[in-house]
Amino acid sequence: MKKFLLLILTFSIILVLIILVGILLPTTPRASKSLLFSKIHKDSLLQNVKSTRLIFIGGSNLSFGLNSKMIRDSLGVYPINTSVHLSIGLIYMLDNTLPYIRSGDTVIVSPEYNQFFGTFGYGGTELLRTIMDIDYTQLRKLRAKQWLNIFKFIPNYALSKLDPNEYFAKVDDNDIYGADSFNEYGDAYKHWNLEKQDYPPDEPIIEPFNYSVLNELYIFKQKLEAKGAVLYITFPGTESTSFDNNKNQISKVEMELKKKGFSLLGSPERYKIPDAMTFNSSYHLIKKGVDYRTSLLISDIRKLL
Amino acid sequence: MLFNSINFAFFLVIVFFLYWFVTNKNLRFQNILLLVSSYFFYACWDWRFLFLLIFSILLDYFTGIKMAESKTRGWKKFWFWLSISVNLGFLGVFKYFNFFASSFADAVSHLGFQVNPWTLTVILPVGISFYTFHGLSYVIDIYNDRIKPVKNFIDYSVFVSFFPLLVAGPIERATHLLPQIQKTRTFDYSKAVDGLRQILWGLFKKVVIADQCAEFANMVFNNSAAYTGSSHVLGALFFTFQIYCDFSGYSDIALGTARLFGIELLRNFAFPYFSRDIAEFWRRWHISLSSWFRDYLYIPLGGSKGGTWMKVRNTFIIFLVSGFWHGANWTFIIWGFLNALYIMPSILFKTNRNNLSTVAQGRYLPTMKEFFSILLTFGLTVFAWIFFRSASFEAAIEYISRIFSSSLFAKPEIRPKPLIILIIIFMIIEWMGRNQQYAIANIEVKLPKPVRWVTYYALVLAIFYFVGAEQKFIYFQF
Repeated sequence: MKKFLLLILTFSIILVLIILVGILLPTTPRASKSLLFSKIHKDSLLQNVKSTRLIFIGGSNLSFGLNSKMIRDSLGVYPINTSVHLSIGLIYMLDNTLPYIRSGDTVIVSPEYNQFFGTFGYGGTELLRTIMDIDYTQLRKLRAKQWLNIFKFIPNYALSKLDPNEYFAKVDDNDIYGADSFNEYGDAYKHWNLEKQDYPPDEPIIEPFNYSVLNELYIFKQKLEAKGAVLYITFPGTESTSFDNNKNQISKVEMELKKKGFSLLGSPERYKIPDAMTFNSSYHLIKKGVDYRTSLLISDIRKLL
Repeated sequence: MLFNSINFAFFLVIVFFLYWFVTNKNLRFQNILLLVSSYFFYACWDWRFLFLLIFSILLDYFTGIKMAESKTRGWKKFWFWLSISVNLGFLGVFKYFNFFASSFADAVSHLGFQVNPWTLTVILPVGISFYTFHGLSYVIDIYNDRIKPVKNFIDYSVFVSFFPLLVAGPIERATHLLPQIQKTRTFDYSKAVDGLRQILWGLFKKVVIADQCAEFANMVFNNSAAYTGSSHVLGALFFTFQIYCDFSGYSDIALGTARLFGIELLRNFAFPYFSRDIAEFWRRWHISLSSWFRDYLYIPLGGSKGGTWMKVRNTFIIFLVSGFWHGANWTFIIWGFLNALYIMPSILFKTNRNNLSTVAQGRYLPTMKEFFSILLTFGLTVFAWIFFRSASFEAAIEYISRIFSSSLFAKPEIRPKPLIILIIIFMIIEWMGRNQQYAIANIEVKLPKPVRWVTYYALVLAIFYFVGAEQKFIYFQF
């Protein structure tokens, strides 16, 4: 047994060392051009925009599904679309935005339905990459649950830095998932002139409802109000077929949000998007879908103002 | 708790240490530990179904004892049929009820009547087909006086619910596993290292090959209309490697894990894609299920003793039942039917036991005849997998018709060159290790230590590199 344990220990130590080398290497050229780096621009918007602000928080349902200029033109407020990717997790999105909130801000959270099920809300590989590649000092701000969720992606992250493609492969300037594929408000726009692509609709979500994510959202609301800002929750523009596949789960989200007393903009059903208006996933929309979803949102916001 | 998850890694380490360092002095404590950890493992899937599992274990345990104690043949029969009908009843309700209800409604609607079938919205308890078959083999063996019932509930319970085999097999036999559970086990360094090596190889197959193949197979199967005939061929090939690496990878992890605890499980795969005919394929694919059907269905039906007609009938029965075992869908039944058709020539011409040894034994390469036999068998298998993978019979027919369309020779839309190269390398490794229990089993004697360690690190790093969201194993749904 001693020999066996020694063998395991030696093997593991060498493995950990290889992973450590990967972690300590600087961010690769390819990673530094990914959409995750749009966070820097979005954070600077949160810091610098002075006029009346309408701050959007969510995953790619917002980054690939909102036309902020339409909102600005219609409502006269300055929209800031902070969203990047669903897999960053709702909790980090909220935590990252909170320090920038000022009195008088209106915050609209549009969480993907998945955020409320299983451990999605705690973030995945994109959260790890956002922190390790952009600002590793944020590591200490993560909660235990987030740590547990992203821990398993560390070896993969470290090894990606040892991949020659990360250094030498040419990055497409027109990449719709690039750091510079966002406009001045934070909307991804490079896919706006592209046609719908084929993809399978979402399967039903099978993970259980996660009440702790809902509670985090509630705590965020209280902290916002303490700062003199207001919070509204809206629903992601979702492809019709995927919506129907998850009807029960979506109703559960709506019901729980209502029970907690959140102010809701519209209803899930209202933001059900015809299949023909989606782009390459159930939450990503083509330009026609983006404008359709934004117009619904504008009329819902107008009712509040 | 999936075998390819971090949770399972922690779980395995904890159980391993408790097993060899805390309970190692007492066999009873070791078995209790295995039982508790197996129940915990199962409860992580869905704790509600733990009660169903325990009920099934209790039923077979007590009916086994009652059968042995029965003074008359009538009582023995009663206990036997009680166990069989309750076991199959559970399987029927959870797995097949909706299929029968909707098939009945469809059949009636063809006669001009409209029936709204009453269907159940129940989740299929994970592993039910596997642990039910464990229990059935035990009860049938007692009924046929092949074994004596176990008097120790813990031992029997570990036999059915031992966590490495609980959710997707191998389907064990009481004669093979129970004696190992009842015997004192001592730690064996070389077995433990071999177990780790098999786990590593299983994870490589699952994470690096199967999950990557799944991505492309799903693209084509889920959106058939968008792809050319050539992409459909690639899609079917990717699924062929996906299902093999997924299921045999799972089996490797199960066997390797059990070996860490000093227990040997039945072998489930023996390089089936190098088979020279379909009969050989079925001696090498999902061996524990094939042999289960042979021993508990084919032979009781008369096997091959009653002349050609009986052989043909019995062969069709076991393949159709085997198809149906995989799931309540006509696609599985047709997959079984196709395999029965494929095997017919060798049954009729009595050549089904021609290829019992490993192909090209003692040679590096097969003969031309062997090569073309392997190619033909592989092609037939790929064709049958199209039905297995498709959502419905109509979808499978549409898929096949797209293969044979004018776009068969068009440039395929999917061209994952690195994955294709990886599959070729993988198949070369499998070919080189085809005489072993698993492809890299003989690495210990064939390669010097530094090369061996580099190989292990390459496998581990490949797994880490490719691991993404935890992908379920295909056979968990059965």
